[in-house]
Amino acid sequence: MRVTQSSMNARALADLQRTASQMAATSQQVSGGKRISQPSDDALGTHDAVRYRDELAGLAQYRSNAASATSFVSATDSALQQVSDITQRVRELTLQGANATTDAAGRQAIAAEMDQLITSAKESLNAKAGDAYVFSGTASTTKPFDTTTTPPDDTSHGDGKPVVRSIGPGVSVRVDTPGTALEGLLSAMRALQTHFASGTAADQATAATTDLSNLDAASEALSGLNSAVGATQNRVDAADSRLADAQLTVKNLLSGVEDTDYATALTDLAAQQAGYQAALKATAAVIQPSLLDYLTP
Amino acid sequence: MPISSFSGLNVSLRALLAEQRGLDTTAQNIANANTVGYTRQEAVFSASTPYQVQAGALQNGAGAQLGQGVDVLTYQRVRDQFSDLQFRAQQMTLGQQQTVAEGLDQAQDLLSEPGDSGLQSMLSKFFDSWQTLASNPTSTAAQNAVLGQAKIVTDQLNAVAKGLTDLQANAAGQITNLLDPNGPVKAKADEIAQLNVAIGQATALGQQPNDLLDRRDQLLDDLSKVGSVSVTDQGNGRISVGFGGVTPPLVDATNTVNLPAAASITSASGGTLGGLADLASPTGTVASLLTDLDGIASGLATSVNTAYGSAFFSGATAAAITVGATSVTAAGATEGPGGNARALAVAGQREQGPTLATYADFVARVGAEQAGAAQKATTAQTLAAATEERRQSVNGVSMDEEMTNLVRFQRGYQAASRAFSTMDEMLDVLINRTGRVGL
Repeated sequence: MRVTQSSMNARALADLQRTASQMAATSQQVSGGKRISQPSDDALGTHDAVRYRDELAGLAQYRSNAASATSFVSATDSALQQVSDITQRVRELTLQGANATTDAAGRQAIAAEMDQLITSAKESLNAKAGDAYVFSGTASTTKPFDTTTTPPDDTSHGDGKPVVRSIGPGVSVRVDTPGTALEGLLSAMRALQTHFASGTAADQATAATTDLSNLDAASEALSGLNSAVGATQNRVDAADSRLADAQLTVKNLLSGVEDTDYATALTDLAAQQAGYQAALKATAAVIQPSLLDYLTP
Repeated sequence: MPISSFSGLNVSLRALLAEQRGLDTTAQNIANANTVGYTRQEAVFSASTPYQVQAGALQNGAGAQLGQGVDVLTYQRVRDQFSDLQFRAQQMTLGQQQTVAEGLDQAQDLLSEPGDSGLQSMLSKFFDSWQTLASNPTSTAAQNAVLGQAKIVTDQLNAVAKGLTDLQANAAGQITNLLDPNGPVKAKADEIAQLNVAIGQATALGQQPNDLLDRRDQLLDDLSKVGSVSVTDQGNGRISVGFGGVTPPLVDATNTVNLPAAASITSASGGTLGGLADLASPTGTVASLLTDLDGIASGLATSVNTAYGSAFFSGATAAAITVGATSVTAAGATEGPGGNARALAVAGQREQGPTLATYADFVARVGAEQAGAAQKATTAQTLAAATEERRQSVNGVSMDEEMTNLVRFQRGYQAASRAFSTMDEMLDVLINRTGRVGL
């Protein structure tokens, strides 16, 4: 093939430009840290990157849901703990009142203390997580237990509908404990209080027998609730640590798709630089000489 | 019949003149070594018609033919027409794919994916905001955040749809500009028509209008990047030029320029025009991307509205989608204010709804289309460069060759001069000294 200066120049220029643009692309990968800067760099990779990025955002959100579930559950837990302590105290007072050495005035005092204890149990059960009453179900703005009325109203005013938190794709957990589950305990304590207050012998006998065994049964139910709440908390914790693992996995996947593989990129860059320098050298050597240099006029 | 003593002078004269023409041609080649579209020329030498010496000139009584020197037969353009066709075909593909690649590059810039400012990030935050609302059903801040994120999503969908529509409108506008009566296509076509006249006249006189032909070929090369070019020989060196696959031809058999209507341009027209038509057409690449985007918008609206149980989004296209709701409720119909059934149902659309999956497919499609067009453009560029190199190998000026020719013609001129002066000396002896014995 016949070779001319201009075709040699054009070829040399095209080669230099090609090498330089490869080098620019690789150095952009190295300096930017991203293998994909726009979809056309790797269409399939971008597809995956878009999905992984959404998954990551979703996982972070599920973890924050789990934190919200935890705060709801711990508010419930501490309220139940307080109620449990109060129940203990009521039981002690019952045994004290049933003792023959306690006189009528003493029983009245016990009845009065029990009334205070029941009110404070109800106040504990009016606990909130954020601005939601935790024992009201979805009627989160309604106080579950009213402490102001006379005669006292020990029934729950919540709607008993489940409050759920989403702690993973398609995974929901019920975080609330219905107030109705505590009505039994309150009514057992109220029965004791009433019977001690009335002071009749029959009532005293009932307090020492039927009422006490009712209280024990309700207390048993309370510790059942306590352990259910603990189980919920465990479930939320387990979900959160699964979410943390998943975050790490997806982060690695995203990085694998999107980020520059420095070992490869730097090796490529070094090879391209060497190629570019060789091309420059060859071009300088080829385009300089001409027959003109050797012809003397 | 005897041969004139001065015959040899004439032979030398012709040689001198011919070598001089050779030098002239070499000088012209060197002068135009860097002229785009220039074809190297060659002075074609031929021995002159011999002088017929009558019978009896030779010992055996036969006649003879006596050489009369050299003539320049023609100044030939060294060009391969087949390379021209190949080059123009590649230029056409290059023009088309470059235009499409640039257009789609703008389209993918609109998406700004993968990153934190694209629709994916906004959709993620939108669904996150529903989750946050589900955790804080009565929080006004969480309710407002849902509405705010939804607005950001619809704004982005509107903006991308508008960007794509603008891209189509710009492409249509560029077609009109290219085909404007004051535009580049008209100017080139007019010049071709003028060159046709000049070339026709020169050819009729038996001349070889090399430089005019070069200029016309250059114009055809330029046009081939704008649209497909087909050349038909009309005799006497004139050509008609079909352009963009449109009838009537751009320059017709009667040398009239017919500018194609913008509406007649399709993606089959090739070149920049074909690429622009592909971008602008309601059935083209950008239009189909817009359809996909509309599908994403209506899918989002349907899935969220169904999950929410009433019209949260309104509008079923990417350009028209807006947030219809003015307030949001997390709780389901039978729940108290602390319920979150609706919020959870909407948030669940992140995994169950089609939006993010179809969007990821969409982004991948834009990327793949752009990469495909860019790849085709690169291939066409490489092929065009290779064809150009092949063409240059035939019609390009090689300095080494011209230098060699320079020396060759210079020596030829010197030798012819020497022959001339030798003959002159001979005649000097004959004329000035013969018959001067004893003077």
